[in-house]
Amino acid sequence: MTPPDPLVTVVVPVFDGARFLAACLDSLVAQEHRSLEIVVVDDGSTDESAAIAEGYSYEDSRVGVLRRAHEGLGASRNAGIEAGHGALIGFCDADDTWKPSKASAQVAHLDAHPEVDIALCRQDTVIEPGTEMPDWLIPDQRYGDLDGVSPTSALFRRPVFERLRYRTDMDTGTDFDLLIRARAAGFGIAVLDEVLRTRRIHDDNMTTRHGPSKADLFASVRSHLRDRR
Amino acid sequence: MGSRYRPNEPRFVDETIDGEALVMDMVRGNYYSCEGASAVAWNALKQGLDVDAVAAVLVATYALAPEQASSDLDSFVAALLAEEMLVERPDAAPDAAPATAPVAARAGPYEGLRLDRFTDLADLILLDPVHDVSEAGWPHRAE
Repeated sequence: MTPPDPLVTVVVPVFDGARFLAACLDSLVAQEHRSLEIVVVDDGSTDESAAIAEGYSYEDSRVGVLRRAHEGLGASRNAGIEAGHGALIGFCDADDTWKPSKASAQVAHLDAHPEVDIALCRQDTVIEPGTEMPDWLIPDQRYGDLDGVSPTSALFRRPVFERLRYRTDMDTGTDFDLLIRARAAGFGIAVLDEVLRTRRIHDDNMTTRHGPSKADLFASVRSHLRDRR
Repeated sequence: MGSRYRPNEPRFVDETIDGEALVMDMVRGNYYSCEGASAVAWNALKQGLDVDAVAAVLVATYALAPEQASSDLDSFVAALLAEEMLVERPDAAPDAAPATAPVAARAGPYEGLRLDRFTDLADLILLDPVHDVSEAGWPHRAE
């Protein structure tokens, strides 16, 4: 069981993500679940990302900023995990947002389901004006819409990270890879039917979406297969 | 001339490394492993060789009797078709005309043709496993 009002750490890794970072942080500080700690991990940005995050930290003591040399997504998430204190840990990329009830709904689910260690949720999609509908946006196999369930939507119990960390040798597939290893380690995974997260598609993130990520997907499944043999 | 096939794309995606072909079904979430001669056969079929030519590759690579190569290949193709991994393409020419299949040069002993199916990650593969990435990575891969 989780405590009545557990501290939720939200790790926000960012590298040159100033364009949408304020919208991301606005959505986090507005969470209905108030027992929140937001750890922005600036991964050596060359734009105003760190300054924007520090501005939020001056206005809300729940926001902290960790400045680091550039190491990539997995390393940034791991650094945020280590810096955070929450019994529950979630992640929000700098160009995405959480719905106001995301943390509270996932906390409630974990509280009601002690056998679940990782709670994911559905997402909706915002396509920035001027961005063409990407051809990879195919209907989700589970719900039939165009939105899907992102591994990044997960809220984790801390014990998951007492055994596992994100891989640092891959970029976009780190969160899926972690879910595979968490499953193999015996952690329970559930998907909430609620749409609690918004994925933003913009001209900076669509073109190569299937390229490197597919390679990561194969790498993760190959590792899993090797471990189970 | 025997039948020709192509992979059932984009539903199935595949990658061969170190003599093992890994094939993922992005609709059902299953994944498949073809090792050794099975990977050779999968890749030869994928390139559009007709089944007689694929059998000839197996005979040449593993010193099989032609009857055994044909029999094993028939069963293997039937398994691939049953899983909807291949689609027949009666009139298509091969994508390339390799003298041997791609991984034949490193072939080990012949252990039959086998398609191993795994379903344990289906619910995870059917999530949205691909996260946003820019032209250069996340959003810019480290130099």
